[in-house]
Amino acid sequence: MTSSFRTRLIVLFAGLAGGVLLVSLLAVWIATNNQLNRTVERELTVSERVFLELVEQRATQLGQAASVLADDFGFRQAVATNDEDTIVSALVNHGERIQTDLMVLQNVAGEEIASTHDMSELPALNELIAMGNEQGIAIVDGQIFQLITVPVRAPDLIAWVTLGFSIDAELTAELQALANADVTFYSTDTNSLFVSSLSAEQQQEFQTGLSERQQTLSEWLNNQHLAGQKISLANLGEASLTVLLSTDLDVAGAEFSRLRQQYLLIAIGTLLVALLLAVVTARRINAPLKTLTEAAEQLQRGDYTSPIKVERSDEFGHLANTFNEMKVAVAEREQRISFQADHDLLTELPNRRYFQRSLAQMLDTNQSGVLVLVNINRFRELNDSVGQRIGDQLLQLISRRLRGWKSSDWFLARLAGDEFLLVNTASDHAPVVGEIETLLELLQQPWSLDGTSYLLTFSAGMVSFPEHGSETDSLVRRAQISRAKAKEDKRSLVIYEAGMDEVHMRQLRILRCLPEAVEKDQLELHYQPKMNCANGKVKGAEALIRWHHPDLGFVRPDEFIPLAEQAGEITRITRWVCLQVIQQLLVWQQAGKQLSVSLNLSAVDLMSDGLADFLSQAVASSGIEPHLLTLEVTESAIMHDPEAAIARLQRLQSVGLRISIDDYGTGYSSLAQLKRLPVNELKIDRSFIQYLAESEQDRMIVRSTLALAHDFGLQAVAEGIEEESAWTILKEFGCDELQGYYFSKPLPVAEFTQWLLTQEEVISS
Amino acid sequence: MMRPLGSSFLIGLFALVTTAAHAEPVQVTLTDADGQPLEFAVISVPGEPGRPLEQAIMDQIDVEFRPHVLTVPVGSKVLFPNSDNIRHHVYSFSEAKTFETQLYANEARPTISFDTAGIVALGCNIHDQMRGYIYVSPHQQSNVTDATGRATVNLNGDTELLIWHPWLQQQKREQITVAVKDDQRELSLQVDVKAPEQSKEKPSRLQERFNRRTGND
Repeated sequence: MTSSFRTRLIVLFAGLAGGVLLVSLLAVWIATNNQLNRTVERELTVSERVFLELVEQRATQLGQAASVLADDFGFRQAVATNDEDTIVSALVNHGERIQTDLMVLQNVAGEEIASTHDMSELPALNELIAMGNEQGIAIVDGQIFQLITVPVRAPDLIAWVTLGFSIDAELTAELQALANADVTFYSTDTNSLFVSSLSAEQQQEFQTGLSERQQTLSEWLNNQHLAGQKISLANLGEASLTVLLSTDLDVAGAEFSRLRQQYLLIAIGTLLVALLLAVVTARRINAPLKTLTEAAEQLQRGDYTSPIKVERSDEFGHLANTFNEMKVAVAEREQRISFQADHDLLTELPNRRYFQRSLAQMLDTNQSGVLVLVNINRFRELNDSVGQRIGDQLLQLISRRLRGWKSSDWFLARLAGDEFLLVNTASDHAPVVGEIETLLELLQQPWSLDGTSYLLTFSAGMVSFPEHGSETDSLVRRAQISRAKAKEDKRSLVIYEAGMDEVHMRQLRILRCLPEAVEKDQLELHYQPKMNCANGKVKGAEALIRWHHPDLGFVRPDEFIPLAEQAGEITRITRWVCLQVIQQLLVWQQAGKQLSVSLNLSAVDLMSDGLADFLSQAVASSGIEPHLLTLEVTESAIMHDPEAAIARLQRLQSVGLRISIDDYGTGYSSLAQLKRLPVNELKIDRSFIQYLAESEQDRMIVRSTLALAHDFGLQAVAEGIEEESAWTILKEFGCDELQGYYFSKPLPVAEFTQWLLTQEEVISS
Repeated sequence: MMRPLGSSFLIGLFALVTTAAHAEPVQVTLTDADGQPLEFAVISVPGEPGRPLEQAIMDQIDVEFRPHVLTVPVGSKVLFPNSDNIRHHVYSFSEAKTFETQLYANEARPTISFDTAGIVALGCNIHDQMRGYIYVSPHQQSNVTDATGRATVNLNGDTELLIWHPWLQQQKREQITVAVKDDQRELSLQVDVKAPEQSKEKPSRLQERFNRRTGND
């Protein structure tokens, strides 16, 4: 990624510089090319002018030379007198003097007087005369001449003398030197070259190229790398005679190619510098980026310590500073978050997480110590009555007092709600117990908040580790069990003892299994016979619930009923019992047995109208006689909310059901209340019956209770009959019914039915 | 300067009058091809030639031959004075008379006799532009037209006139013959001849410069 960015930057730089250079190079190329063409064109134009000027100058010089001859008196005399020998000798003499190659003398009519060349090869006289105003170039006998024709006067015109000067290689070389261009005379008809200042090789190429290979002139020029310009000489005898001025493009372009080479070098140099700059810039950008990336990775790893060092005043420096500030901010926030993760926000005490970690650490390092769990009693009720805000403030006060108390060897935490934890790793437990008791006393002191004083009670449970557990959860649970025990026992501190946890665990399992007991048909009713005290015959039975759980085994009612009451399961169980009993009554009714059955109601059953509705309905729909069903209620169950309980019992009684006060004599019910109760029966508690034969006092209580019951018009039942002596005494006292192991223990229905058969007579009441 | 010319002219006129004493004078007016008066034309009347002159004069004044055209009967002698203060070298390559004087000043005054009829073209070897003609006449009368193109000839009965001009000479052409009736007293003729372009030469630049320096002009 970084290298790619760097590469891209370099490519961008180089591309930009390269592009600009390429374009400018192209421009220079085109410009120099154009300039070269223009220069060559201009040079050729100048060459042409110079060439024409030279030729004209030469014509003038030749004319003057010719005039010298024509004006010579002797020559004129010779011509005038037609002295042929003299004429020829004069011509030769003069011609050699001026080095002419052609001499013609003709009369006014154009007839030859003397000539070095055949007259037929020469232009006609009038053409020759006309040439006098021009360059006078003509082809004679396959050679190029510059011709000049002047009159011979004596004094009237008597003849014309024509002088011809050959245009040869020497002259073209001279012309080339002066005009700065190669001069070539050639025929456009035959493409044959007459004379030229070009190199022999080029001349050869011209001859063969143009005449044999059918090249055009411009093709030939291109091949030879030449620039050329044709000059058409006016008034030529031969229209096809053309002069070509040519110049070597390589020579002309030498200056430009040097310029181009220099420019190319500059371009390459510039490109290299641009690349170098790009590399340097990329590095300058890259280096802080790398530093910042490393810093970001450090942050990612959670390393907030090392500062980022980018000593620059530009954007990167600014970015690095921002990074540093961000790092500090992140570190602070992380610290805060980790504090919040480990601490309770309300009290700022370590929370459950933190405590668990600390305790696990202590246990892992084989430390020993104590764990104390302190709970505010009835805190929820307090919260409900004074409000959450006051509750929170109280919690803060408590945590402050705890913190103020705690010595350095105590670890303090708030577990949840009103639960505080204290851990000490002291090896000696004895002083620790004292410290906790002091603390609890301190906590009992009034709490002053907004001018109001609050008194709180606390209960605490203590466990020692590793004796009471090697795991955090079990230690906390056991501390909680101890605390619950303390609360239950209305003590401030309970130290965990072995086994407390097992009872608790069994209770928890019972609670867990209770809901399915009804569905899974684990409950069963046992019936214990109720006997007529007077004749000892079966009158009915008390239905007693039995629970046999596949894992828990036999669970006693006094173990699970309170738990069912706590868990709200009791209502369902009571209804199940009611239905079972009604069912059984129907069975016996069909079998012709007139038996009554008692069943037990819980205090919870009397707290709502549900049961009364249910039973009225069930009894009505079953069609049993209501007086065969007796509902046993303990005194304490009524005393909880007597008004409502009495109203509900009255309703049940109004249906025709019988109401019995169970365990009569153990409660605190006054006679005044008894008078108000809608009751049909009193059931004297077994504790008065057990030692009836031995205890005079018991006999007195029982006799007076029986008397009382009878006075109120109530039936009286005694339970717990284990010996015949008791029966005898009770018969004497006038008790109505008896119940106890002496007659039979509670039996399952089948066995109870069997037992009934052993009783000869079943008395109908 | 004009005096010598005038005297020679008078001599010529006298000769003409004497040779045609009883004939009728006829005025001939010549124009050239462009209709301009044709000066220096020689109009000749055929017949017995006149008496040769002892001394006709062809002067050289201002680097020109004066008169430009001189007619003399065949056999006449012509004096070549030099009224210029420079020397001249007069020559002729003409068939009628080929001669050459050496460079001379006025004192020399060569006399040359012209015994053959014909036209003698005169030139000066030093001054190329000098051109003069002596018409050595074999005819009864040969008169030169003046600047108006006029000349008078005395005619007697039907005859013909011969007309010559230097331009014809320069073009190698023969004389022109014109028939004339007896009763004609005036004659206007257009001669098919044109001034050659060279004849309109200006004085040389070098000459002008020389003249200016010496103050002669």
